[in-house]
Parts: sequence; C-alpha cells; structure tokens
Amino acid sequence: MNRPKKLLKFLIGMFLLFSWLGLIFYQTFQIENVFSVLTREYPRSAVSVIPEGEIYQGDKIVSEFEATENYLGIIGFRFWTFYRLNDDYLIFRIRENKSLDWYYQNKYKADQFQPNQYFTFGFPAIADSLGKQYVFEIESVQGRSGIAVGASKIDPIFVVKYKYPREQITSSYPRFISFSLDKFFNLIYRAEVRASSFIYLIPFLLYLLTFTSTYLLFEKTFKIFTQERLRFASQLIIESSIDANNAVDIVIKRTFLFVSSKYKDAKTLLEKLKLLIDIITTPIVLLFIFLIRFSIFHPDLLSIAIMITGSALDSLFIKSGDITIPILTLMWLYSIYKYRLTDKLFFIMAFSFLVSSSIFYYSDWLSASEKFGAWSWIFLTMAVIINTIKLRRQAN
Amino acid sequence: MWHKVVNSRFGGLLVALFISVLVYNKWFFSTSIFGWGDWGYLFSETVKEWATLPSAWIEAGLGYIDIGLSMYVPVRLFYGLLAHLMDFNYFDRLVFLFPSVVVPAIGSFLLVKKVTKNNFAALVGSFVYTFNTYMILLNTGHFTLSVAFGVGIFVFLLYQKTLETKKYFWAVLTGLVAFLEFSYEARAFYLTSWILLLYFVYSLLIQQRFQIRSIARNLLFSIIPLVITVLLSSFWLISLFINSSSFNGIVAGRQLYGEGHFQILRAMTMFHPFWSGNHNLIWGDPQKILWWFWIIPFIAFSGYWFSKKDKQASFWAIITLLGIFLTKFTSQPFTGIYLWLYQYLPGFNAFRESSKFNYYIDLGYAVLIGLFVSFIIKSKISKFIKLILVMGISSLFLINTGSVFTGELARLLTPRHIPQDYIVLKNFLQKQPNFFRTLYFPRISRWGYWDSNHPNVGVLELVISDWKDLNNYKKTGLEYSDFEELAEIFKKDFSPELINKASIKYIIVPLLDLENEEMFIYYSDISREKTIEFLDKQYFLRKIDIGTKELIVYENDYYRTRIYLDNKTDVTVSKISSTQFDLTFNSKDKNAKLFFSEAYHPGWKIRIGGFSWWKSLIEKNYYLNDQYHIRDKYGLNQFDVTEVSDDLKMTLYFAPQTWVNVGSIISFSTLVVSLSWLLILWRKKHE
Repeated sequence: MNRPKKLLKFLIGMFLLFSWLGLIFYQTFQIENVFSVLTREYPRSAVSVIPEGEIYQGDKIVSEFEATENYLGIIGFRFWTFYRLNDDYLIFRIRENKSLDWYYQNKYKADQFQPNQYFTFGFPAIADSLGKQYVFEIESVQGRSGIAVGASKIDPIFVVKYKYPREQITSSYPRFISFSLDKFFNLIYRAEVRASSFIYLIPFLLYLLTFTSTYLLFEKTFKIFTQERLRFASQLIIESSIDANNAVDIVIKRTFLFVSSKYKDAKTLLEKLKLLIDIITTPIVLLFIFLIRFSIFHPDLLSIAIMITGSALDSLFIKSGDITIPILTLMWLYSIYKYRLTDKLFFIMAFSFLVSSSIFYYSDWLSASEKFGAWSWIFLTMAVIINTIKLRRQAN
Repeated sequence: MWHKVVNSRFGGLLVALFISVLVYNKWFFSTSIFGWGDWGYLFSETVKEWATLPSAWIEAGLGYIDIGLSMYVPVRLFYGLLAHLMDFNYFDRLVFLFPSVVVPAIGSFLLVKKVTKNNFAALVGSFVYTFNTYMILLNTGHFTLSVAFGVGIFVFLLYQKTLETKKYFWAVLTGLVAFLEFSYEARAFYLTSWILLLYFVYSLLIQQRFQIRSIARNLLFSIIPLVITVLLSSFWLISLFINSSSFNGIVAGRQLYGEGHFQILRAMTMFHPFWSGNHNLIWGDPQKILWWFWIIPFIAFSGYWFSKKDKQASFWAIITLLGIFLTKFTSQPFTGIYLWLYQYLPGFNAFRESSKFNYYIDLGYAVLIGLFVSFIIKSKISKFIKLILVMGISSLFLINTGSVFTGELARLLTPRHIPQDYIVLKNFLQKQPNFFRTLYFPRISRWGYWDSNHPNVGVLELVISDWKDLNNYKKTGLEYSDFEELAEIFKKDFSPELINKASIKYIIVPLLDLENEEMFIYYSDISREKTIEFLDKQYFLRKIDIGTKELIVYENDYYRTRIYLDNKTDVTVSKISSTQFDLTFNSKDKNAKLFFSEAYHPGWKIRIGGFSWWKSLIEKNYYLNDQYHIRDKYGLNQFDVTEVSDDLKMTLYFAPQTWVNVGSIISFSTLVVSLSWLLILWRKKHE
C-alpha cells in the first residue's frame, strides 16, 4: 500500500474517532439542552407516599429529598394517564421541611400529562437550596374513577433540576470548568449516554472491520507476546531476580515481589497468581483470534451483529435527539452495499423488531416500543427497496 | 354457496356493498336527521340560497373570505339545488352520507380485484379499506374526505387504464372524475396526485425500458387529466393564487397540530389514536392499541412477501410505507422531515396534522392483505383452513363495525330531533326582512337558524378569533374561569357599542340539549343558569318572549344594520350578491363615514359611479383608494367615502370575486368542452 493511501486511511480512521467524541458531546447536549441545568434522578422508593393506581380526590403523592445543589427550580414527575385525557386538576406544592408555609403552589390540568413522561412543575429557583431538605406534594382536586391520573411505574419516577444563573457559571474560568465537569458527570451516569457512545462508535468499528486481514499480522506477535509473559511469570516463581525488559514484565515482577514479601506462603500464592494471569489472558487471546478469524471469513455477520446491537440499543435507551437513527441507517445502507445483504434478512429483522415493539408496548415501556416500531419500518423499507431494485434488474 | 356467490361476476362487489349498507343501516334504513360536532344541521331555507354562482365571500358569522370555495360543487351547488326539492335529512344523505359508504366500498373492491384478480381477496381488501378505524372515524364527521378518498380510488384506476390503453377517452374521464374528487376535498386530490405521480415514475422505472417515445406518450396521457382538473377548478384556483395573501394567514400560517398523538405503531397497526370502539370516543384522548391490531402489519407484509415478484405489490408496499412514514407525523424515525415538508413542499402545508395520510396506509394494506388472501386461496391447504383464515382476517376489520351497526358509536349514528323552541326561533327570525345578527351565549347551537340576512355568531367563537384582542382576558392558573373569559366581553365600556356595530339584534341562550348531545355548549364552569343570571343584569339587553318554552332571547334595541352612515344621512342599499352591494345616498354630508358590519377584509372596495366587475381588470384606479378603507376598532369595515366625491351612487364590491368570475368562465367552458369531447370519443368508440 502506498503512503498517501495509508495516510488517507489513517485520516479517515481519525475522523471517525473524533466524530465519535463530537457526537457523544452532541448527544449529551440533546439529553439536556440547557447547559445551566443539573439534574438528579430519584427512584420510586424515594417517594414517601404514593397511591397505587388512580389518584383520587384528596389523595397525595408526598416525597422528601435533600437538595444536592443550589438553585432548585424544577421538579419533574412521571404520571400514568391510563391512555386517556383525565378531567382532574392536580395541586403541586413545595416547601423546606422545617418551614410550615408552602414556598410555592399551583394548580395544573391533568389532561396535558403524557403517559410515563415527566410533567415538569416549575417554580422560582431557590438560590441557597444546597443541603436543605425539601418536601413536595401533588394532590388531586377532583380525581375519581375513570378521570384520575396515577403515578408511573417507571424509574426514575421523579427528577429534581437545579437551574444555575448564567452569570454564576460564566463569572470565571475555574467556575466554568468546575460546572462543566459537574455537568459531564451528571450526564455520564445515564444509560442513554453510554448507549449512544456505542452507537456513535459503530462507523469506526465497521471501518476497522475493513482491515481484518491486517490484524492477522498482529495475531502471531500477540500470541508470542502473551506466551512470553506467561513464561516470564513462571521463571519469576523460580528465580525472582530475573530482569524485566518491558513495561508489562515490570508490572508482573513488581506484583510478584510484593506478594513474595507480604505473605509467608508466597510460592503457592504466586502459582495461583500465574494461573489467574493464564485464566485472564487466554480468553482475551482467544477472543481476539476469534474476532479476527470471524471477521475475515464472516465480516457480514459481524457487521450485522454490530448493527443489530446498535439498533436495539437505540430502541432501548436513546430518547433524545434525532441523529442516532440516521447514522445507523447510513451504516445499514453501507452494509447492504458492501455485503450485498438480502431483503429476506430485513424482513426477518422487521418482523422481529415489530414483535419486540409489541412486547415493550404491553410492558408500558412506550419509548422503547416506539423505537422498535420505527426500526421495523426502516427494515421493511429497506426490504422493499432491495426487492424493487431486484425487480428492476429482472425487467432489464 | 358463498364461494359461488362471491366468485360470480358481480357477486363479490354486491356482497361488499351489501355488508357496507348493513353496517351503516342507521343511515340507509331511516329518514332521521344525523348531526354531531362539526357536522351540523342546516335548515333547507338556509341552504336554498347557496345555489348561486361561486362567491368569494361567505355571509355567515361576521363574514369571511371563502377558503372552502373548492367545495362549491358538492356543498354549494348540489346542496343548494337539492334543498329546493327536499329537507336536510335527504339531501345530506344523497350528497355525503350514502356516497361515503358506497363509493369507498366499490372503489376498494375494484382496486384489489385489479391487482389480485380474485373476488375473495377483493372482498377482504374492501373490508380492510372501509372498516379500518380511520375510515370509520372519518364517517363520524369528515364526509368530504371520506367521499373524496373513495373517488380518489376511481381516479387511480382510470389513470391506470389511461396509461395501459393510451386512449383519450380514459384520459378525459380521469380528468372529470379527478375534478369531482378535487371538489369534495382538495387535500384528498393532492394525496391522490402523489399516488399518480409515483405510479407514473414507478411504471417508468420498473415496468418499461427507458424509451423516449414511451415516456413522452405516458407524459401526455398523464397531463391531460391534470390539465382538465386544473381548468375545471379555475373558479377557485385563480382566485387562490392571485389573492394568496388573503389565505396565507388562514391556511399557510398555521402551526402543526396533534404532535404526540400520531406515532408509527398506531400507523402500522391501523389503530386510530382515539379509537375506543364505542361512544366514549374523545378527540385528543389516545387509547391503548388493542392486541389484535398487531396482527394486521404481519398479515399485510406477509402478503407482500408472498407476492414480492408482483410489480404491483411492490408499488403498493411503497405507498403503504410512505403512508406509515407520513402518518407517524413528527415522531420517530426521522422526526424533522414532516416539518420540513410542511414548510417547503408546495401544498403540504394543508396538512397540519398527519391523519389524512392514513389514506395511503388504507389503500396499501387493502391491496397487500388482499394479496395475502389471494395467496391463501391459491395455496394447497384444505378448504376449511382457507375459510377459517379468510374469516379470521376479515374479522380483524369487521369487528370494528359492531358499534357502527348497533349505533353504539353514537355521534353521527344517533338520530337527532330538532327541539321545538328552535323551530319557533327560526320562524321568528325568518319573518323579519331586515339584516341583523344573532349572538349565542356561550356558543352557537347546531339548531340555531341562520341565513345570509340573519347570520349567527357565538361568544366563544368570537372571543377566540375576531374579538380576541378586544376581550383581552388574562387570568391563568387557579384564577382562570371559562365563564369569566366569555363574560368579560360584556363588561367593557365599549360592549354595547361593539354589539350594536356588529349588527347583533338578538342574544340567545341555547338549550341544555343533552338528548341531542350538545354537550359542548355548557362545560366547565359555564352553566345555563349562570349565563341567564349574567345576561339579565346587562342594562342594554331586554328579555323578550317569542313563544319559546325554554329558549331565552334578549333583544338589543340599538343594533345597527349591515351598511349605514354614522350620522343621520340616509343610504339605500341594494344587495346584488354576497360580494356586491349597490349604494345610493339620499343626501351628502362631508363628515359622514360609511360602516359595513362584515369582518374587515382589504378586498372590500368602493367604486364610485357605474360598476362592471370586468372593467376592474383593465382599468387602473378603478376603485376608491385603499387609504379611505380602514379597519375600525371592532375589526369591521369603515370607509371615508363622502368627502371624495359628490356622486350619490356607488358600489361596494369584494374585489377577489373578480378572479372567481374569470375562473368560473374558464371552468364552465372547460366543462362544456370536456363533456363534448367525451361524448364524441364515446360515440367513436361505439361506432
């Protein structure tokens, strides 16, 4: 391979890798597009009083929480609408737990609630909320059978949002960096961010798949290297003064020396340690070899497996933004072109995703159900297009 | 036996028709009045006036430019002519109720038969199309769409025939039928046009090799129907394009509506978001998809899979997938595309919610499920299993008809009866020759009589539109009250003057008519007692007895007529049409202002001296300069005419009507030429 080609391939790889980072950043922005808001999620167990089923007139949802930040300003609560427009009003109230007066209260019409979606109760932000205990109540005004909402069964059931003033964040660089880090860790805990990071990595993974023959060159080296490390570990048990010539050996030697100096029965422990290294490295080596071999002989299957995983993760976890589907669709089209995938495969996938969609639908996991349905439609469209192209070719 | 009946020449079609008529037995086997929601009741005295030439101004409410002029043929002409012969319960059946059942049943049967060549498949396809939840709900009030979609199937079949035969006869007939669809619902025609265009492209791509001659011929036979339809519709299309600024605010400026209700699963399973299967159906209240609806997409796409070598199957699969994609609106996947189309694709901004794209799904599923049935029938399984399968598939759709058959779906299946008080009111209003309006508090009853001389308005309708800025009610949250919002308009200093200038003579408190399901009149904290108590306190109103038992009527003695001068000067008004009034001043006062109590529209013009509408096309400055026409503080028309001329005669004219007239001439000429051409071709064909 000539040098410019190599450089181009390297640059494409780098571009895809940096795109991955950029897209993760984009996704986190989509999840919470207000930079100045920090969110904390709470499970159902954090709610002290929660009526089962419909919430009738006078019934209340009561919860207490400790503010983890200043500027407490929004509480989002997931309701269940029983798939209907409910003619009830709910009163939302919030106060500090040692105060007798309600800090804020307002009445909300229940017909605007969406099933299992957060309904956000906003109130004037409390600047010094950090560390204080707060109580909020949601009370039904006229709920009765058939026209009342209920609490959702999906966790997290409520979120607390802290809305920092812009001046507070941008007053100095250290403050800005500190808040940005807070924001980053606030988001990284979410399954959606983790799922999207895999999805956005798919273009890079599929790109790597095109170099599988190159990996064969490393296979032998990798195996020899691993075997040599194991041999080094065996020699260390007999002769502890043996020299370590590379970083991995140094780590192994230090570990062995540490164990030898610390424990009386070091020899047995070292044998066990060697075995442990063997146990850990062997599957890694085998997996590496398997992936290389498999991707050489069945790159299409590996590609399909990655893509199906991506589509399933997208269906299950991605709720914000609208970019995962176009990216995955593009990757599917690339796979169709590259591996000549057939309409049969897409029919099977379309039907499987539709079945999954119905299962999630009746489990009341509506967002996943909708996404599985969306993917079912995309797969059907691909199947029909592939078949139509086939018909066109036959006509000619 | 059934096998023989369905497989006979017209047997399948007759069975499809018979079952449709049976399902809608409430309409076919009674003479009752049916009305619900937007589908109101019209006294034949009201409708008789409608059989005129196309008019750009509607004399209803405070008056407005007719954005529904495209529906002139069924709504104005058919209704208007038939109203001279019969009452609403008959002419409404002939123009809308019966066609909404019969036309789709026949059309869908023929379409599926054309693809599958099998009567059983066509019968099941017809069930799929006519008895899915969307089409059933269309028949609870959106008859214009229901009929137009049905006619659209015939347009497609005729177009297909045109391309197959390359005969002018079929091309002209396609154009005429397409015009009928266009007249019932322009949006339905728009959707059908896309099917025709896609079919044209698909035929080129799939069915033929690229040959310039063949493409040119196909193009010619595609353009003829389009040209005929467009020319026949000139009476409103020309006006629409030339006066597009008048419509922009009404049609194009609208926001998308109903996001969150339409999702891909509901589209794929043919489950209308609000389908409850009974009278508890509430618009805006999404229901859970019933389990058996999930079977539908599997059957439909299995039908495609088993017939995937059939080129027609691929076409209808594409239409289905397109329909699903558009019906899911702004939900996943590709959430931004609908909005993009709404903003940039010409004509797409007529679809501010996506339910109408169900049409594509219904057509596509009808064909694909028909193909599946056809596959079953051709397969080598036993006749008994075939029967079970076909009945099972049919029952997925026939099950939806239960509540229609029994009338449990209520709405437009429940017979209504005009309360006697409203008949008394009608007689009372009708016998008064002078112009005035009636105002209903809180809102108009469907039984409230009106005609062009006595339009009616409702407080609720006005405070959310024409009087919104005047009312200026700002309370929200715990302080908000529906009743207070309506009552606010009577509490202003200018309230008596507003009511006088809007020509409101009578204020009517409608009945609490739950028997006829008029449940939207009194709602929330708006009660009849509270309304009467409030109106009793209005010093400028006087309660009168017109002989009604419960209907309450208040009279406003100080109302102004439609056209008047603000001083003692007299003006004689001669109404030529809803868009033309000839005025004669009996004397001149330089300071007098002319008031016209229709809602302000810049299209209203004053011509001083003699008037001919066509001269306005060629003469510059034909009308009085626009600077003398202003919108008064109540949103009505005011002209400063007296100071500019000493001429005592002038004409008040709605200028957009000029282009309606030009278009009408083109439309009528095209109709005559098309029919003559069709007749000649037909005679040639039979010679």
